[in-house]
Amino acid sequence: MRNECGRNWPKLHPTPNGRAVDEISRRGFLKAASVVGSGLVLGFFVPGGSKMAQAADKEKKITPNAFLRIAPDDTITVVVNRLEFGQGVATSLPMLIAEELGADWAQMRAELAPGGAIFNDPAFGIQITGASATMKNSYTQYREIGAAARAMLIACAARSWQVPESDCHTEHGRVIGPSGLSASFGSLADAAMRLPAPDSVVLKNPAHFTLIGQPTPRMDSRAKSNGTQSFGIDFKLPNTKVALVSRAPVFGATVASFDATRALAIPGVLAVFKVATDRGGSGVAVVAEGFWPAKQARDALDVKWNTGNVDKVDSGRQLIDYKALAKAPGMVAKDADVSALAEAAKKITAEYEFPYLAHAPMEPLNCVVELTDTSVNVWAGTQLQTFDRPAIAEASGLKPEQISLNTMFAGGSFGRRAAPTAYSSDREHCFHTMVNSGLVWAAGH
Amino acid sequence: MITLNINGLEKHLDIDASTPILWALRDSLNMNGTKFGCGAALCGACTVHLDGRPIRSCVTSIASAVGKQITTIEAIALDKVGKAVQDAWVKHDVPQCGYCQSGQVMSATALLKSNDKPTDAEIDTAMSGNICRCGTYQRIRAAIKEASANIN
Repeated sequence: MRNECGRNWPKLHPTPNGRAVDEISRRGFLKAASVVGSGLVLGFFVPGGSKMAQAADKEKKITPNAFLRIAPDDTITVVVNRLEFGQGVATSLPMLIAEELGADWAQMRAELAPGGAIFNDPAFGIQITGASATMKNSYTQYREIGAAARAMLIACAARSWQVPESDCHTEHGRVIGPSGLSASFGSLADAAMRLPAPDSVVLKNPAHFTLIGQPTPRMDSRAKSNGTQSFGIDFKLPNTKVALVSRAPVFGATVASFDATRALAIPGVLAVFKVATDRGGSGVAVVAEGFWPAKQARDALDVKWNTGNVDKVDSGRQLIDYKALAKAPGMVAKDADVSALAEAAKKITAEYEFPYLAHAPMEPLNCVVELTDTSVNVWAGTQLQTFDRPAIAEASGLKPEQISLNTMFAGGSFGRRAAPTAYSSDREHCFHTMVNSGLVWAAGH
Repeated sequence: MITLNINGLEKHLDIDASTPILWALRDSLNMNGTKFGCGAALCGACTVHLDGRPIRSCVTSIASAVGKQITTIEAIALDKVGKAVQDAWVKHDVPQCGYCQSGQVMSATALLKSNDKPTDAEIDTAMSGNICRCGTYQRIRAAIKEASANIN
């Protein structure tokens, strides 16, 4: 499995025969992925919570209702169990359901699923967007959801028409029966979706696909071309405050001292305090009425950093270490037949070097937090809801079941949003101060 | 109190005169179409028009916009060229994550309003301040050419 998810990606746990799970054959992987809601866990090592991923898997079987809403006005909303951050899942997953339902593409809508075990990746057993796994692992899952809903709509129509279900089919958003009978999905939906989900479903024959495999424009193109697409950073509650964190110039450095006098004198600045950050570091948080006073205040903090005990990372040294490591025995990523190389008339040797790249999405990391004594609501563009929840629980002192996590469209990620540090920097003081506060990390810091 | 003309409407704001236009739009006026990327005029996500010219609203104070016309992504479709650009963006399926695209559309519109038949080189020059981390540059260029054809 390729790791596109950055440094806090869960470590792969070696299986008893010594092979790591990323060596599972593609065929075996697809087979595993096709068992919807089967509770398969691919041996993820979850720091401090490996039982959680397994427990999450004991969920009841996936029902169309959680993933699909057909409204009386004939709009069909697909709940997308992934983060949309440019890769197109808010178009591709609805395509799967539209295909199986027999819906018109124009009636399809998409929304991102909140945090919840029912939205786990069916193969990984956790709620995650990564490893290029959406289509690989949810292809059959979403088709089955669409096929189940199709069966329920047909059952409902056939019952009211008193005709055999086998005489009915769907197309263009309608159930079509014998003798010119026809009803729109919207007119049937309320009754149909109350029926029990079928135990097994019949998937469409791929030879009859009309949508899957066809170039299909993104559903969000218009909204993303006219400024109306809402991203996490655009979400506000009434009276939302903005918090920015002055972060250390190097990972793990701590605050030696800071002077908040000038910062607190800026109109609109409400509070300044030290916070813990990741890797044992610390920073200084500023809370203000809006971004601009918060930014001015942060720039006025005059923080002195303690970098004494921090690893000094050197790019040149790193490259030398990498080259040495590359010569050492390691895990084979892919077996290839290179026997012809010995006889080759011409051999080309090339070395490729890649610099250390920051996962710097264009939308700065951010979340909105609404805290009460008994609940935390968080709105964030996140790739890894299953791990965010315990991080938020730890930071807030509340229980995981008291936390609601709303997944927001994200302006890129490149794996960065798979690491819940946006929350962990809130640990200690922040959560108790920032009621209804948004946390924005300004870029470049 | 500072008075700004935004999309043809007078807006009265009781905020610090040094506040960048970006934060007047987003925090004071709840106009979220203009995006915050870098805060340092390096990425172009915050591009708006000031008297028709593309500027980076994250580093342009509201004080400097007094008496001038600010146009944002929310109103650019009212302009014939802006509408052609947005339609071409949709036709070419330009956006991926989409976060930079408000700025891209504003820069492209400003380009076509001053030069309605830009060459590839002119497009690249005019758009060079707008970064797209998804890498949609080829489609941006194709969409600009499409919009150019449609307004001529």
